[in-house]
Amino acid sequence: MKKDNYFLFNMSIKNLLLYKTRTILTFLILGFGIFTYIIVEGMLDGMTNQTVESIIQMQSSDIQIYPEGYNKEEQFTILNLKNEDEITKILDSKDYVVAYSKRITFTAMLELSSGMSPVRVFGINPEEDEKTLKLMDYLKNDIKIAFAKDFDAFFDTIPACIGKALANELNLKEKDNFIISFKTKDGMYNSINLEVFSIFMTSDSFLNSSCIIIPYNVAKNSLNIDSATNILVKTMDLKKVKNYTFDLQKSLPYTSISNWMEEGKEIIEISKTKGKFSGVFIIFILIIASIGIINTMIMSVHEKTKEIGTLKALGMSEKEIRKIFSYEGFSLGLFGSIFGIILALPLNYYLARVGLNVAAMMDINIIAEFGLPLVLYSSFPIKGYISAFILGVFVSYISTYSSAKKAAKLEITKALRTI
Amino acid sequence: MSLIKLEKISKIYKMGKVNVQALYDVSLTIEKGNFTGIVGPSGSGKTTLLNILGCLDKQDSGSYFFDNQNISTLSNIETTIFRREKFGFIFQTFNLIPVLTVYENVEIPLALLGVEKRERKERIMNILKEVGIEETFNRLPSELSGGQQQRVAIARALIKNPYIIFADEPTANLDHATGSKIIELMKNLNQKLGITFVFSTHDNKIMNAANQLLILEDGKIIS
Repeated sequence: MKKDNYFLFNMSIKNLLLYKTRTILTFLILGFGIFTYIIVEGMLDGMTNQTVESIIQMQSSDIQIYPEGYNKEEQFTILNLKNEDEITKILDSKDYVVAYSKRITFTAMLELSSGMSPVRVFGINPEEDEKTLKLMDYLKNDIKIAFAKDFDAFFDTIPACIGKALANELNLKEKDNFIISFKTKDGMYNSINLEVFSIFMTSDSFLNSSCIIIPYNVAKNSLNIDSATNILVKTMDLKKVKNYTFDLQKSLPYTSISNWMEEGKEIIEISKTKGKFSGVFIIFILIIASIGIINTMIMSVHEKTKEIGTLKALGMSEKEIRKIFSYEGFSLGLFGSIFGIILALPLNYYLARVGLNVAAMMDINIIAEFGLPLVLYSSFPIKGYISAFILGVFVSYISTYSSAKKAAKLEITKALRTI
Repeated sequence: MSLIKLEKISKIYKMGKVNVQALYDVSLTIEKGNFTGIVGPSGSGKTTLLNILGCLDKQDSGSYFFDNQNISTLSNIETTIFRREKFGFIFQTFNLIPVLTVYENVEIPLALLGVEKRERKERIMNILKEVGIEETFNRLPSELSGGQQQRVAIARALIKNPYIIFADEPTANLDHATGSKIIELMKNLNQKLGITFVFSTHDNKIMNAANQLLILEDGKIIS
């Protein structure tokens, strides 16, 4: 900084310190705005991350292999994979495939004396499933033993795990019996008698509110199919999932390969909406901060009219007068933004490490229904910090522009006459 | 040798729909080293004339020669730089910057001229000593008496070794004794350093100290 610029900067800081209360209030408005933005951005970002993570860990794994012609919308059509052995052989040969699990996924109607409810049923093999998903963490430990039995769907009571929100809705408790009905591959109607083995509550609202988990073989036999309806694939590197998808589709042309990004499209859309909300939010905060800064600067120019006249008489140019007020605005923005960041850092760190205990604040059934995590973790939004800081300083600087210009354009003789 | 020469300077102010002629074809000459007083009743145009002489305002017609240079045609920024380099100002209400210390107030002209910090310090302390307030260098204007504040204003006007100092009623806000001391100080500086002083005043003491008196009445110089 040139020496004369340093003098002007020093003067602007002293001007700010002259009206401490007003400066502190403006400073607090901006700082609090920056603080709120960072915390909200971190929580929204963290929520999206957790939701995406939940989709990958609870439902989709990294990659899904479906039969050719599979349509997600046609839920009642049963399509199973042809050449299942060949598919698994190819999967075994791919070095980026860490694990895979075969699944039978279909839609059924859950029948109770009180009524019927459509449900998504997953036939799983717990030992395979735990290698591709984290769903097992939410089910009872002895599910492997319970599901391992060779069931006869006609005579045995089949153990089933049911989502908490669904169980609540249907008033089902452990060991209660219920029936699901569905169409088999041949278009025949079938039903099986299930017993609630465990009620699970995950961070995935769809699983909690609409899903039932039954043993793989029971599902396979009941649907009268000889292979899985889909295979979940866990890969080495989630970031390279697009490349893996492309490679697998080339190796398995008679299948339809999808990945978590396609499965989580809705969530990604929600994330984009969140981005828009976040943008509107920061604009709102910055408008409030701008009004505060503009008000401070208008008052500042008004109170210093005579001083401005004196400085101009002493030979200060319009540019130098503008600089004094611009430095004031810049300093307000700089220190306000730093203050906001300093205020946000510990809370953001706490929310990122310890998280927000949602369970302590909300009814457990509401949490289950909305699939909220029990503990909501914030992200550490580096971009949010940077953009908040830059915008804070920039907005302050811009907000002072008209006041600084007005000050610079004051007529010396008129300014000197001001009392 | 004339430092200032005005030729048929006129100034009209618009007060709503009414035009008020503040100066009417004013012509005058001020010599280098003069201690010139502008006197006249209120509304006679003293401040307007002083503002035009100090390049704080522009005339509507006429020419202004400073050291034989026609400065009527200078642009705004050229006028600002001209004022910065050549003129010093003393105001009736002292016009010190309240957030700056005595030292910093006197430093303003030097900072604007880009004088090195080390040189600034030496010059400021010398000038504060010259006007008799060196011990107050670290105080704020609000901590000084009226007389001390006017001395700071004089130091601020003198610090850049200006060609000329314009003073608008410099003793009007001071008591009799302090006003006398300020006039004495200005007169001493005028004689010792040869700096030209032009001031507007109602004060008889300062009129008596002047070696040139310009008497204004209704925007015209009558003597």
